Amino acid sequence: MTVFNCYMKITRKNIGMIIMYFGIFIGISIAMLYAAKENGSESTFMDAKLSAGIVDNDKSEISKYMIEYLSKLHNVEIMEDDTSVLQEKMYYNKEDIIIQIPKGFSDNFLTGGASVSVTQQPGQFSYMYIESQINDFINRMVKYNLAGYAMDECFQKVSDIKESKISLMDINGNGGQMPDFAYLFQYFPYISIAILGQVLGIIVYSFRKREVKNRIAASAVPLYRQSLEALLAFIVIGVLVWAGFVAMVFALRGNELLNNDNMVYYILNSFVVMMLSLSIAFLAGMLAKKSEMVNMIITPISLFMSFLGGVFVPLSLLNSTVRKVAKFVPVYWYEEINNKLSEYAEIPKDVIKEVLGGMGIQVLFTIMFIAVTLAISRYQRQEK
Amino acid sequence: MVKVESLVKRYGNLVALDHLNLEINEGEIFGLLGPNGSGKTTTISCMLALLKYDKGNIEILGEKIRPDNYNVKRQIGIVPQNVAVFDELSVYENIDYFCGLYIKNKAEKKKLNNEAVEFTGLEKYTKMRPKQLSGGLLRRLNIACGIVHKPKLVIMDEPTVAVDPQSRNKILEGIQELNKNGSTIIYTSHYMEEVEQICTRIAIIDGGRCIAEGTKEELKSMIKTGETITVENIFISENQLSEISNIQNVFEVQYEDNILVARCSSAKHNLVKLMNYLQDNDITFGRVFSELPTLNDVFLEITGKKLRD
Repeated sequence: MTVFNCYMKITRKNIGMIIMYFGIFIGISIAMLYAAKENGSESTFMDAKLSAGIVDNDKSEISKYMIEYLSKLHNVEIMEDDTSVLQEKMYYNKEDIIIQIPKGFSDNFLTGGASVSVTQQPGQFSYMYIESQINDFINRMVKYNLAGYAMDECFQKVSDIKESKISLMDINGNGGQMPDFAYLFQYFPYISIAILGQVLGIIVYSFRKREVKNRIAASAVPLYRQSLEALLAFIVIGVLVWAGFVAMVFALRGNELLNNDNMVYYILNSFVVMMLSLSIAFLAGMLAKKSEMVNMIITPISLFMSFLGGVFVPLSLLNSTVRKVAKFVPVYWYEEINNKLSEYAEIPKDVIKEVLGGMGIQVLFTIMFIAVTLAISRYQRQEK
Repeated sequence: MVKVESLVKRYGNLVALDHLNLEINEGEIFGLLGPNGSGKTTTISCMLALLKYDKGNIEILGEKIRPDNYNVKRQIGIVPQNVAVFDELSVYENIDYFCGLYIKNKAEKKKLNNEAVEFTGLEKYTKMRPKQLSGGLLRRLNIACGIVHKPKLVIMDEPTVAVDPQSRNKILEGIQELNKNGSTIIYTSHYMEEVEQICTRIAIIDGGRCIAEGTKEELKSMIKTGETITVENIFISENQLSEISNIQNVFEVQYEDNILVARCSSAKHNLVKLMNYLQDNDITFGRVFSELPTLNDVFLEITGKKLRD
């Protein structure tokens, strides 16, 4: 197992770099995880009660109904029409909003011309909320009144309307949010390509150097055995990096992952992307003309695939043209599967087909990279 | 030990080896001498089954060499022209790796590794990486990797290229010691001094053909030149030059930039005869050298060109 041991020895020499990548990975993943959680807790709409001061200059039946209606929704204080008092209340933030019902409000009510004056704290938009409630009240009162109901009946009906209820279908079992461990899986393609590409790319290059290759070819180890040991080393190193990643996911979000019915698909998908990374490492090692070139090949490939494939930027944020182009990037299919898996707590059969299809596409990309590498290797031999 | 018969190797229209014949006996340090591009490395590549040849036959240790003849390959060590080691491994790890290609037993491997380290004087550098070594040390590492498994036949392809004189001497001494310890050595070089210094038998190759073969004495005896006399700061006329060329045993004279070079056939008192002529004719001169023929003279006389042209 001389060739195999040599692969392992060189890999051990790069352990610092591997730890560094894993460190960066953990750092980014945790940061993104918290960032995503914070974004998730932000609401675009918040049901809140405002402090509303109401000046009723009309003192009509309708204005009283409206005040009663608003009292159910907000903290209402009836106020006198004294400008200095109103200004003082606003200045000391005792009221969020001042509503002034003008005289003649009820006269204009049935003709649809009734309106109120709303004054609010600068820089706030809550008046839009209360204005829409007032408009809603007026419209519905007018409609019931035109239908023949007396004012007290109209008010009763407007007050009785119950709020519609929304039931959330929690089909992904995580309240519609992406599970935490899915964020960790999201970044795996980058570290997988970066680590395996750098480490194995350099080893492939080292074994490819003409003099070393000749020295080994002239030795007593058969060529088929050298190839087998190299292949075994490739797979073992790949599996070790992959297992290290999966162990890290379990260490950080193990319970969550264990309780997820799609765990096997997540892990299988990451295994497929690890195999893809191995093929990219093989290609990089074959293309490099100096050991430094391996880094120069792997860094842009890993970043390009990660950005376009949705590792750093969620696929949903990419425009349709970019998404079309991204389909030619294998990592896109990895992320697409991850997104699909995070959408369902229990994955339907037709989606399983899509998931396996996506893995199949990654396998095809892997085979393509290996075929291209072998073609390059053949061409290089003929050139010599 | 090695028999190369009528070997032909072509690269397209270029004939790299043209019916090359060689026979190397056990215990020899056999020198393959020739200018760059003469076919030395191609010959070695064919011997190691790294290259397919078009015609001919190569036998090593009584067996025809083939890529899958691992029994024979196990007994060959190779020291390539360029340093062939892993930059990522330390000196010791490199030696251990190349030893592992031949030796499976761990204890034996360890023993051989240590012997190779000691033999090449790399004890202080075992933990260093190749990039941290000087050119001479790197060459020694290259040799250590080739001889660590104690092969019967060691093929060294210009192992001293770009090495400082001190390291070169150490390497040459090591090769002689290796030979004393029982290894047969094939040594290629375009440095005639090295080949003269260490080789017991020499083949001169040019244009893919062996143009002369034998011990250095045999090779030198093949040529007309027995002695080359050089006289510096000398001023002579055309007439005097003609008279010098007529001195007994002088068969060729050159006069350029006030330096006179007279080639004489092997005989006694060539220098005395020339000096007498110069004194008799009141010709003043500077330093005088008398040199015995070198392999370069052999090459020059056979091919009409210098080894390092």
